[in-house]
Amino acid sequence: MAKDDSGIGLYLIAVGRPDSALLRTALRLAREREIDAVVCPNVYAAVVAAARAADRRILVVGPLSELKVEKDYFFRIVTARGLRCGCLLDAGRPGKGPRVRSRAAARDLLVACRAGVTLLDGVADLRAVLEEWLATAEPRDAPGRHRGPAHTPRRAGGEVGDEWRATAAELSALLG
Amino acid sequence: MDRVSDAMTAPAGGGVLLIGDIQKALLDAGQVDRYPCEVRAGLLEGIDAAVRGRFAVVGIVLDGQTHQLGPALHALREGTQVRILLLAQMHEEPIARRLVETAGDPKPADAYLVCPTCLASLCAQAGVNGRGPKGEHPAGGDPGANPQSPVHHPPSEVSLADLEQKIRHLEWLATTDDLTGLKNRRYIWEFAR
Repeated sequence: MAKDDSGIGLYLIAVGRPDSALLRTALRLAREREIDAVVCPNVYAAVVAAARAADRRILVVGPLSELKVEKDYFFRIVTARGLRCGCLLDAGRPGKGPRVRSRAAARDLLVACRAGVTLLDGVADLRAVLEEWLATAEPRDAPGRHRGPAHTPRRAGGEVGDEWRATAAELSALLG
Repeated sequence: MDRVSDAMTAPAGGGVLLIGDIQKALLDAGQVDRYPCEVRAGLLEGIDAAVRGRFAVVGIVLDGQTHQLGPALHALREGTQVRILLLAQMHEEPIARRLVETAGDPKPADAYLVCPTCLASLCAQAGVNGRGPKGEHPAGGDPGANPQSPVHHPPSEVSLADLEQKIRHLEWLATTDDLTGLKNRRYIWEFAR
């Protein structure tokens, strides 16, 4: 099992309710891999934690419903500061992808796609995100740069799927 | 995205960071670049700047941001040691007062100003180079000049201070019963908005 032996100070910021499945899983995986982790109850605390650990390589994970606060400002910070981010989408029916209940929800999803965050269909995807993050560990990204092509939707597991490209294109067309 | 990237450059130290729509709080918001102030539109980018920069005071315009204020102030307190100044409209004064007077240590905010106000008053309240625009001595001259010399303010600044004083007086007249000194129905109506 991969561990943080990179010596470059990986740091996991988990955003949301401490009793949520996402946070419990994130903390367990971080403990297994000996990665420093912090729980932030909301996105404001996450921004503080990220700013204080500015010299480390940071992965932020949390539900989209929490990270989308204040439009897309959090995602702009993620991009500008070169952070890695994983967003848990609202659960949909198995095999049917994320649930998009409204135009606003579609817009949130599009913003996340455009910001290049990794989209998580479920908590189980977190392991793949963490593995990929550990596998690509290197000295911290320069501000203003993030991994992968700009504005490319990412999916847990590494590869950018056509399915997600289609999702972003469909949402863009839908929202105009 | 460019606007935010520009806003994320390293801030100067010791000044005032203003968060929110300053047009709604300041009479002379257009002159903000003449004062040791930086502005961020949203709470998130404001908190990011506050933690990374070295500001003496953070001023938060309450307008439209009250529902997320609690977590944001708490995060700001956790991440920085700045003084937190709330810029509240009259009808937001109860919220501001509650945040300032909350028991416990640390308080969510240190002080509040009722808006509209002007930058000179804000800087004076913040204790940051109160009267003069950025880079100038408060008296408008050389920092080594005679301290006994009279202070000359630019006409626009004098009129703004005068205007602000008149606004305060009008607010007081409009919301207070002269005989008893109690707040009147109009003040309560403002609270209830």
